Amino acid sequence: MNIDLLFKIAGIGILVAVLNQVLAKAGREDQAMMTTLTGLIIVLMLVINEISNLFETVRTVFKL
Amino acid sequence: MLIFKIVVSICIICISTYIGIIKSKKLVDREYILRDMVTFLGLVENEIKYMLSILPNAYESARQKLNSQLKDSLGQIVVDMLSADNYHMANQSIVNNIACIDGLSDYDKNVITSTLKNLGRSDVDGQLNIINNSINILDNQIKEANTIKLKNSKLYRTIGAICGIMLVVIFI
Repeated sequence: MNIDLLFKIAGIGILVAVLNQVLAKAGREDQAMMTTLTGLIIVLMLVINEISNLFETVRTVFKL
Repeated sequence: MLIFKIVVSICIICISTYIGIIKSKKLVDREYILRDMVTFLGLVENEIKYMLSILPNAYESARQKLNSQLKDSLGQIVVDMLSADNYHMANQSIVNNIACIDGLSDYDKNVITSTLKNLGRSDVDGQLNIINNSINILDNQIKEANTIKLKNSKLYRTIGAICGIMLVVIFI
């Protein structure tokens, strides 16, 4: 697994948190929630290949 | 390759921050244009009340004191009023030129358009009343524009910068 992926996820997390706070303080709670959900979806999309590899590895190791 | 990535990242961040700044500037411009319009109406009122000027002359004299996009739009309206054959052509010019002004909401444009149209079909007392009513409406719009500006201009700049950084993090 590439270590860059961890930094990307951390960077996105920090930025989503900052954006969430900025929008919440501006009184736009629903947009803040949408931003959080969008960040979550982006991170899941980044991680989905690794999850797929994990399942493949588990299947290979346990000969399922 | 690294230098290229850095340059592209800086470009992306600068562009998205610039977009945020442009959006924020529109809010500032709206208040500025509305204040200019109130100034214009006050000057037209003086021209009509004390100098008994006809409308195109009053508009031309008042618009010289303006600083925003309104100055050019009103200049074109004056030219069209002087060359128009009838009232409808002058009205059409008012609608077209006010619609071209960026930064104003549709309601602001409707108020300004109807004020300028109605000034053309009233006597002096009617014109003064129309101007006073419009100034009151525009004062409320200015308060609203100021509130929105204070609430949102910094927000748009921050969001612009953060979106740029996020794009860089995701793709680069």
